[in-house]
Amino acid sequence: MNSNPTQPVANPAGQLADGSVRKLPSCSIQAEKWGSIAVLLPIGLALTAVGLGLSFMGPLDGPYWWIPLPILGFLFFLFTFLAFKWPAIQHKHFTWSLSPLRIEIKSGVIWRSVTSVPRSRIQHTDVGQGPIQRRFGLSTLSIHTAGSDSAQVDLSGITYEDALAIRDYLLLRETTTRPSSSEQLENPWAALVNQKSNEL
Amino acid sequence: MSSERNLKEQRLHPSSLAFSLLKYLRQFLAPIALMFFVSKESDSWEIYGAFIVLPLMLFEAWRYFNLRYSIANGELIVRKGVFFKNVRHIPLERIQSIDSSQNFLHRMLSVADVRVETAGNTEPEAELRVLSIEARDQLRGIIFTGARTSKAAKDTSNDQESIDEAERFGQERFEFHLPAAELALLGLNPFKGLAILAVGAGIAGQVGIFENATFLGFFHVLLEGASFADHFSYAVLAVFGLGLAILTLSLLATFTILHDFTLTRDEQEFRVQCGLFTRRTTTIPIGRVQYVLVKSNPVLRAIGRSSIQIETAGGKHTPDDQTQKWLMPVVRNEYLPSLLSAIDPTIVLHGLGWHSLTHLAGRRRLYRALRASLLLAIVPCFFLETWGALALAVGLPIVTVLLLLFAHKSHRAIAWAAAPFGTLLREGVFTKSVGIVLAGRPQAITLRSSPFDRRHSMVTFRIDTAGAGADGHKIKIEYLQRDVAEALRDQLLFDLETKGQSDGLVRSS
Repeated sequence: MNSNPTQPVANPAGQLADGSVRKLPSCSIQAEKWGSIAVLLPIGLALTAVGLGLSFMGPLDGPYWWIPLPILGFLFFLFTFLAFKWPAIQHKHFTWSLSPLRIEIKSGVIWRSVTSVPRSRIQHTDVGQGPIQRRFGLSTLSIHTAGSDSAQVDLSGITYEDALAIRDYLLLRETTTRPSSSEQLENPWAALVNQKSNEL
Repeated sequence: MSSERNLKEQRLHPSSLAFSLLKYLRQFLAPIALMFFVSKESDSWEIYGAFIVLPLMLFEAWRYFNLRYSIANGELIVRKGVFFKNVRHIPLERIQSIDSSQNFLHRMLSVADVRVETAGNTEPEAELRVLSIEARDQLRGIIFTGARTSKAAKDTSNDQESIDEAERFGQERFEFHLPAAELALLGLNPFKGLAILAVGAGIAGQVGIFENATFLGFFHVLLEGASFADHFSYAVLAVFGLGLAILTLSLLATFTILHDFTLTRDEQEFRVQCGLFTRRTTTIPIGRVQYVLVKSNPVLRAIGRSSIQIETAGGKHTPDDQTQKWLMPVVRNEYLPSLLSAIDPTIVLHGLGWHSLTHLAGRRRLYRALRASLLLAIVPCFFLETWGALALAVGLPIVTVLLLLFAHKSHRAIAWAAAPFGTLLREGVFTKSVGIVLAGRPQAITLRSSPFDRRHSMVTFRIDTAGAGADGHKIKIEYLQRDVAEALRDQLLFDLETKGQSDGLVRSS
């Protein structure tokens, strides 16, 4: 796609920018799991200590000593679910796609959102790697716009190489060949005008 | 051209030192006073702490006074610092707006606090505290070339006194003073007074007035109706007094903030000036307007007036910065078209193809109102012994009906339109508004859906712009059909990519 020979970056994102819907690599599930465990385990241990302390060390003397135990049990299941099952569910619903015009990120399991950021609106990008992501060769690409709500859009869990390639691709401004408006861009305006939304 | 846009290195006005000292003094005054009172009896180290703060303050003030600014090669260069030198280069074309404000002290010395704002920062890029008025005008003139001094604008406006107002707003240059009578119309807004009263009540509650037995007793008499006739005159007086207080407060607030509101157009920029105590001047290059909001509350609507607010990408406004976004707090509806076309000549509000939402969307809004009233019903259930039963029997039906009515009305009010000059959203029951995201301004577009949305294949459609401030001025359409939302999104993205190559912060010519 990138046919400009003066471009110094060998740009594998040229192949990425075909507009097809992509998923994160499956190892990102593992990374998410470890990330969740790293957060939830200390909280879980602390809560367990407090709960057991309440039950067996005195404060809840008498008939109510058992109350913290079912709560702890519930939290145990919740945390286990969040740490071991949730990342896979999240992964199932997370996709991204890159086209010469925009980057689009679909995320969310219960509340789903699709965020489209036009390439021309991107101010700068960051590629970051946490310790767990580094272990799996993954990274987070943060896309910054001048907007207010979506001033930062994160694409977390893509491979480091992909992140770099997308970054390079997104920030090539006018040097890349834009699709001529006739061939790749179908004007959706006509479709909109004919929308049935007028029917009230 | 470029030589015109150069400025030799300038210092701040000599009184700057005093002003920055004053600012720091104000910052430290409360803590120092507190320390003093707390440690009065035990004469501990806190007192000495206060004396350590003083030299620090002096140093800070001195550091600020040390600031120099100049313009060269199309950049505003600000140097400051004593030990650590800080040089900041701000490209002139990145500057979104220049604000200046003057309080009494400033006006006595004819100086002003000047803030230079670029996009995407919560704080002003450069804060020049303080410049003389001439220096400010010079700076403004150089940064926004094509801008004349305000004197030129005045001259032309004098000639135009005879011209019709509506025509005047169509001119390249105009100066408009908002008459005090119009301001009074804005101040008559009862909702604003209520908000102020609520704040007052909050403060009163904090202070403990409501625990005062006699005060509460008065309301007991009022509510329980015991020997109502005796207290009838009191009740009437109280209601009248309350109303009068609300109106007075509202009027006072409006008059202090918007006193002598002046809108000047000087070719490619708007300048807004207002304020009684602190006089603010905001200069906005017209091409940088991101979002326009035309609003009217019931009072304004009844007399055929609206108000116009605009947002730029400069500084995310804090809530107390109310004046920043007014283009015109009150304007006759017949002048609206020419004023809007001053922002962008292609804006027209009539003859647009407004799209309403579907019936299903209306029904979902009704269900939401029902859910809200059910949720409200939970509270009185806990007080069934005392007032809960009465509230459930009488209050709940009334509240439910009102909520349903409101939901229905707001559904009817919502409509969106896509026009060549931007995307519009019309909404509101009491305060009606039309928001316009100008073409080429969207930064990102988000379609969000809850499980219920997905069941009805609907989404919440949201356009993010650089001008959506902290108070969430943006286009957000709930319960929009998914296919319509996707088509609108694709259309907007198509427009962005085929037309504007800029970053959407300036109007591309």
